[in-house]
Amino acid sequence: MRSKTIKKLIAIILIITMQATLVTACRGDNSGIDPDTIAFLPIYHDIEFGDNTWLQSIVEHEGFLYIYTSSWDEATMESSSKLSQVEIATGAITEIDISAFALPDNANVSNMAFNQQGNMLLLVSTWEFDDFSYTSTHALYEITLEGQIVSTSDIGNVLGLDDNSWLQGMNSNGQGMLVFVIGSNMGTYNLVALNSEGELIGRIEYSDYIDSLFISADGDVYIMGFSRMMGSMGRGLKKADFATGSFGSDIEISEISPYGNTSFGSGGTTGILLSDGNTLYEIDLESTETLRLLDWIDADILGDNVRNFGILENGDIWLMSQTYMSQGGSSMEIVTLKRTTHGELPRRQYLTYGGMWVSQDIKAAIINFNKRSDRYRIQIVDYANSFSDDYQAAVNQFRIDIAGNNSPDIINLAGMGVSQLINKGVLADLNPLIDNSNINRADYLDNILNAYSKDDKLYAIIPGFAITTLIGHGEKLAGIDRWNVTEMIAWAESFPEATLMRATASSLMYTLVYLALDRFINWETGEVDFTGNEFISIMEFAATFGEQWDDWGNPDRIGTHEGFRDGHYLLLDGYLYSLESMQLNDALFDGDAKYIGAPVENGSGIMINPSTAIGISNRSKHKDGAFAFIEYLLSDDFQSKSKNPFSYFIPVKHSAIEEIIAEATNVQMNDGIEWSRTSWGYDDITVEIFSSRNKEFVDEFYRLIMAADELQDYDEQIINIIQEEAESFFAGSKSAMAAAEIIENRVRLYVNENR
Amino acid sequence: MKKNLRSLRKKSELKHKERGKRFSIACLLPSVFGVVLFFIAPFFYVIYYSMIDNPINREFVFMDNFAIVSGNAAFQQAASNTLKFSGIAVPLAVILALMLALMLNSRIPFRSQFRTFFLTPMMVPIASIVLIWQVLFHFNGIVNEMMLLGNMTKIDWFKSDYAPIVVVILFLWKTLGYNMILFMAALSSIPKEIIEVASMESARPFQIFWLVKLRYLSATILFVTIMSLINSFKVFREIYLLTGDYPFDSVYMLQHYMNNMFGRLDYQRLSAAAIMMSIAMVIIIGVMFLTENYFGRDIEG
Repeated sequence: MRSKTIKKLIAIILIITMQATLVTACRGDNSGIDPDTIAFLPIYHDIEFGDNTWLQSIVEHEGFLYIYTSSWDEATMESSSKLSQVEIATGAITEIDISAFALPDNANVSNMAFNQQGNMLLLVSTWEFDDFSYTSTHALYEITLEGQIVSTSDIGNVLGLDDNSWLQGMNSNGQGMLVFVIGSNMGTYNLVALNSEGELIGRIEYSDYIDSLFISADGDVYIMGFSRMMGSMGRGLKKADFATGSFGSDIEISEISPYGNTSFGSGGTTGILLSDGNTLYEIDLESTETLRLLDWIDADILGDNVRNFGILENGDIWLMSQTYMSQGGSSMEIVTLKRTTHGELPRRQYLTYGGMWVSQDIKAAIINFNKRSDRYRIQIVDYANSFSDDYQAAVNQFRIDIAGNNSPDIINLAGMGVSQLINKGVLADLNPLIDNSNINRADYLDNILNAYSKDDKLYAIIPGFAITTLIGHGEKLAGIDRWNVTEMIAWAESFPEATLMRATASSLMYTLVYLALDRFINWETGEVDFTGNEFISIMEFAATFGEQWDDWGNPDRIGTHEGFRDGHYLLLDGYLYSLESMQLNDALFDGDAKYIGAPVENGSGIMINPSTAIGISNRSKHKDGAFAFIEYLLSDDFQSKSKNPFSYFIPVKHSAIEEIIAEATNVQMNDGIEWSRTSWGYDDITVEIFSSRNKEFVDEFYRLIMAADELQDYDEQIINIIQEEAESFFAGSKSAMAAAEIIENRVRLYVNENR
Repeated sequence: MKKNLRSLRKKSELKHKERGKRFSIACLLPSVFGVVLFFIAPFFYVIYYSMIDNPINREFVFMDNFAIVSGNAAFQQAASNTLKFSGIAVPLAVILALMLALMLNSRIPFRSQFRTFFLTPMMVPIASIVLIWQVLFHFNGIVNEMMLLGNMTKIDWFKSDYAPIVVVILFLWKTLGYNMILFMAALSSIPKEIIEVASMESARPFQIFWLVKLRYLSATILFVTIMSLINSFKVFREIYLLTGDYPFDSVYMLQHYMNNMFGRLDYQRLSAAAIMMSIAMVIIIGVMFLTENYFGRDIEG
């Protein structure tokens, strides 16, 4: 009897436990994150480095950053250097007086370290150039933190430096050893260790390229090697053993990816941190275990911009981030990430941003939005990153989430078949949200803002775009303002000595057919006609191009400029996002470039190529918050090139376009001579870009922007069917009619299925 | 006194039984919950999904989705192809497997080698089968090369009206072995005395087969037919690997339609198509059960 009771009790406990596991997913706020999860609160230190300032070297020591910078004063035409000490915890800056030692004007402080006595070591290099070569000197300066020189020593000889070698890096193991990386024109690298007296401890030769040098908490020396032959696929992490004069075997760390941005920092219990551009890890090179510390974006940091970083004894993380502006120059900031818990962070409403791939400009926009908004915080779901080995699985999961209850609030629509999503009612109408906001539609390009409109509803916003069109010689295109496929082929055939464009049969089919699909498909009746003369003639025309691209290694390859100048090629596939690119195109066509547009049945043929397209899920419970992000994307902070370092697109706001035109046409003179802004190269031509020349293209630039009337958004499935079947014709296996019949059969099936 | 004791005992037994019942139900609840959650609820959810316009608005449209799907030309093509394929491949799979089983049941040389030969396709992975079929039936494959040697013109096996032939051959190659084993097991379970009696009564071999063996095999025939029918729908997997989402229309099956609807997030049409296919399956299998009941009733009593 008693045993029966015990058995019943056990059974009841089991049942309760099994049911209880179903409710373990309940969380406190809507972020889905456990409040006790470690989080990092960013504290930005307001440190101005000034214009025309560049970082020479940076080192962390006992909670302080020591930064050596150089500046150029345009007014006095003089350079100056500065050594600053920054307290990481507070951001307080002290300038160290280095007037006591005068470095030569052409000196470069490439590395800094600290020795056991707590003095700073500066590796100072100088180069003297003459007509045929240069000579270099390398000296090690030991200075106190008050800027007093303790010693200087010429280390070029002891390191074995000559005219074919250079110093790439230096580090100290904190135990009296200084380690140097020396590169050589002979293709080998050397790792050299000196003691505190400057005497050689050991030298290890490495037969390839050394990417990074770092020291563990135990004072062991490691390098990241890099294979010239295999590129990033040949990365190898190795431990240096100066006693035996060799490196150990490769240490496998799965977080070290051959792709993307990998950099190392110092601090923590193991002494080695690894950033892959997205996430910061602490790694133990003995056990190869990694500890994930944070995702940079969760701390409102753009990981790819992090130049130096480390971890302090109290667990806080410091970093220096550098952002390069699209108009030139860069800005630097120092940030301390204070360790806390998620529950301690300011409470905000969490929104999700979902996309197949999240570009840098959008990541930066989300970070800026999160910094400024005290009501909302956006979390990113990057589907392609989550399914790194299987793109199709990522697409499927994204589609399932969109249609199900797990839809992101903000949806990046690139590559997602917007028409389908609109038909399924997935996307919210943005018109009421715009009408109730401070957005003035007249401030924006009407054709771009309303590109994703259907039946008087707006389903997505394009915050930035580029233009795609065809470009040719104005003389040869005289009298032609627009054309369709048949007219274009007839025009090309009137120049029998020339080829239409540098293309393969497949790429040309892609260009010619997808813009003209309406000629062959009637979506109302389901009728398709790919066996008529028109499509067959397009296939036969495309077949004349062959299937091999013009190989760069081919000695008979015709350069792009030569090709257009000498009449080998007629048209160029153009991608425009700035006035500078128009200067380059003009040079390719010897001053006679004409923007003709792609061959289409209706419209101008000037295509809108969105940098991204953003919609709001109809299921979102926070449409206001999601729209606040869209408002940010349409604001000057994102649209203006002067404020947005990632502005590599044409903005959709009129004032931002005027700003980039004003900047592009602002002539800079020096002694009566105009300075070139930059130079652009393309294959066999390099063009100096001048602001005064940019003025010549302003009207045409505006014309193209205003004429853009069709989205570069096509039915990929139909294109895939056509490409797949046309290949057998191009390969000579089937006749054009046989291939066309199969295309017609399969496309008819697809059209009927989707009607 | 005795009466009271007896009634007390009865009451206690009843109470004990009642408690036992309740405890059993409590123990079964998690499993029942799982079955309801993962089998029964989704079934009703699919029906619900087939009667709304889209998962966002959820407006009830009753049979509109069924009307749209049944009127869709692609669905009609898929249904027609599926019926034709099943109508040809399933009977062939049953009849040929039965013939093979009868053959292997008799005393022929190399019987076990033949059995192994027919069973081997079951062990081959799908990817390998697809690869083999591509090598054989590709436009530049072995079969066409042999046809060229025989002065015949090449056939685009996968992208023409000959494609169903290739699929039927593939289906039979994969399925015959399994069906054959089932029939062989059934044949060995037929009572030998009845066959001996029939022989002694001067029954011809055909009469023995038709009037005796077939009756005993009726349940197995039903089972094999149902399994073959189910497997005939699974052949979509091989067709998909050979020809993709949108094959030549002669091999466009119902699963293609449903797979593509899933890819387009059109869960309403997918659900409607799935329900119509299920109803058709239930009718077909119901008819088969009735037929088997009629022919096999004297065996099963």
